Amino acid sequence: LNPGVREPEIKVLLVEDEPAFAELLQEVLRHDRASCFALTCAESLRDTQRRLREDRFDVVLLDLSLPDQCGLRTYTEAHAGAPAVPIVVLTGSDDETLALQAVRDGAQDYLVKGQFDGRTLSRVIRYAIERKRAAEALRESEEFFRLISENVTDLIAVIDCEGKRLYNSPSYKSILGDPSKLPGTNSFEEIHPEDRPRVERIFRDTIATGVGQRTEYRFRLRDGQVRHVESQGSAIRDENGRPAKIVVVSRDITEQKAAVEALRTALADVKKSHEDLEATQQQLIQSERLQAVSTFAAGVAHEVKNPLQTIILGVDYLAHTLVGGDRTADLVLADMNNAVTRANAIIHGLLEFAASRPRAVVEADLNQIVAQSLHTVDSEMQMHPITLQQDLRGGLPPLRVDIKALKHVFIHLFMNSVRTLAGGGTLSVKTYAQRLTAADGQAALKPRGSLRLGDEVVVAEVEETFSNSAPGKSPPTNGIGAGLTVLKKIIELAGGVIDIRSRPGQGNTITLLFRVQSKQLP
Amino acid sequence: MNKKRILIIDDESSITRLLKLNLEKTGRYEAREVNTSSQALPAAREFRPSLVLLDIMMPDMDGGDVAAQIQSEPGLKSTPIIFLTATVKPEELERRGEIIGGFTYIAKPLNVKGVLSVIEKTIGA
Repeated sequence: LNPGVREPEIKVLLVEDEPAFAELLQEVLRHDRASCFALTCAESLRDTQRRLREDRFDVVLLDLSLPDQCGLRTYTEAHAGAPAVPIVVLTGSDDETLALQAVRDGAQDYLVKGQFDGRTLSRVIRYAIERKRAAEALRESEEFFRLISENVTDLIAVIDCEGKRLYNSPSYKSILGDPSKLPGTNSFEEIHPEDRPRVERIFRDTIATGVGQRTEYRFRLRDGQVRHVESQGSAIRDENGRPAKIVVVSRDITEQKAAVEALRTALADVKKSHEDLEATQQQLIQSERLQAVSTFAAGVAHEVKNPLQTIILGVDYLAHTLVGGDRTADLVLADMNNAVTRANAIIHGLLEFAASRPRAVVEADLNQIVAQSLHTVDSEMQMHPITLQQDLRGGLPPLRVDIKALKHVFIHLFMNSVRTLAGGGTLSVKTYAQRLTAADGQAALKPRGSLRLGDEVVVAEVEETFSNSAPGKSPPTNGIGAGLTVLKKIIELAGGVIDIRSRPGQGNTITLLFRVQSKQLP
Repeated sequence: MNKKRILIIDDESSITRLLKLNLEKTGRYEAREVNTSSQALPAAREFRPSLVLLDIMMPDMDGGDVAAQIQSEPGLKSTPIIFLTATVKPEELERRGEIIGGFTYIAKPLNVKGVLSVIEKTIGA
């Protein structure tokens, strides 16, 4: 020790009811060269407790036999008065067992009266103070880490090289139950069987290399619940530098995963709505374009009428002028008349189409439109040997269409079928809903036009079949004829497509598909 | 027998010419053609038609106005007028209802047989 440097004064509370021994100790301590002691004396437990309350001491020298208390209780009660102050027990040679008991209960040391010198006393006091300080620091540090590990939501675990659990923080309670029952159990047991081999491999790698890894996996709990966890392992090395334990810090990311999933779904929904909106916008643009075309068509039809009028009147005049004349001229005039009649029919169609715009688009039931259209052509159908087969499925999602225009389409189609089947046959009309798939056996039900894969569609299928007794009468090649362009436009406007297929020698199959807006899906 | 006089008013001269030829060819009618609405009233005053065939849409004047002019003339007040219309759209006819109201109209394109039958129905053969 360097005699030039005096340590700070050590405040000692001496509890001793024998004045002679107290005096002796005072004398001994006063002459100590290493430390400077400031001594205060107390003669009873009550006096001791009062002084401990009123002042701060670095150490207590405590005789266990006092007038108001004796034995181990003297220690216990003195210690309770100031738990942070180290206590050195003073005892007679016959009482060493008691002194040892006090040490076990937290006293720093003991001295047997009459068996120590000044140097020993000084050393015991200083060591007691140091030990207590170190113990306090350790206790504080432990308390600090205990507080952290008890309050973090992260899952902290320590496992040995075999994968057995050594420690699990209280936060494990929500996943694995009471953490105090976990030590010694297999830390891989609750890991989802699909993830377990991978996590075990990472564990072995960490043991082998000493380098931890971050990974995600699932816990499958006893109640069947699955929790997603993200873990980071770190190796703790032994004195030889070999990884001995693994500390695993994990986070329950189940909610986070669910949120990400929900976000992904929401994003997909937004994307789908956006596509729907775009499709609607396209329809709108098309409808505006169509209206411009209508206006134009009306103008053209009107303008064409006058020259057509001249030709009609001219043909009429020539027909009368040539009466009784050239037969060839008669035929030519008849052809011209026919041609003019056809041109006139086209103009008529154009004007009708022009007049059909714009109309309100409303929610409508396809079955109702089909049934009403069939009703309209009923009398016409009755005049021919045609059998009508209907299979209109109930519960079809509603369509957003121009009802009048769509009825026009069906009436036109049915009238055409009646003409085609005039010699006898079966007209089959079916409606149903379905989702478009790429692999659909029926070519007509494959996505095309504005229809995409996976779209929910409402389908109307019109099938014409000649009866066996009236075969051969070929279907009119221009059956739907000039009107088809107009029909196609109306169907497109309703978000649909039309498919016409000829079954040679049997008749035609006409399929109409209408896209159902996604929000109308059940 | 006196031929009935038909005044044909239409801005298309080819149409008026052919209508005139066809009507006169029957031997029962004498026709006069007018191709602008401004000539309509003077022609009517002078020609004193038994019936007027009047195009409802002409570039310089509406057929309805021409009809009103003709019928406001004391001597022409009871002259029947048949409108020729190129518009077959029902709403168009409805819109023009106040002009056409009470009058017969023939939709273009018309053929001679149709025109003759309407004329005969109106003023007799």
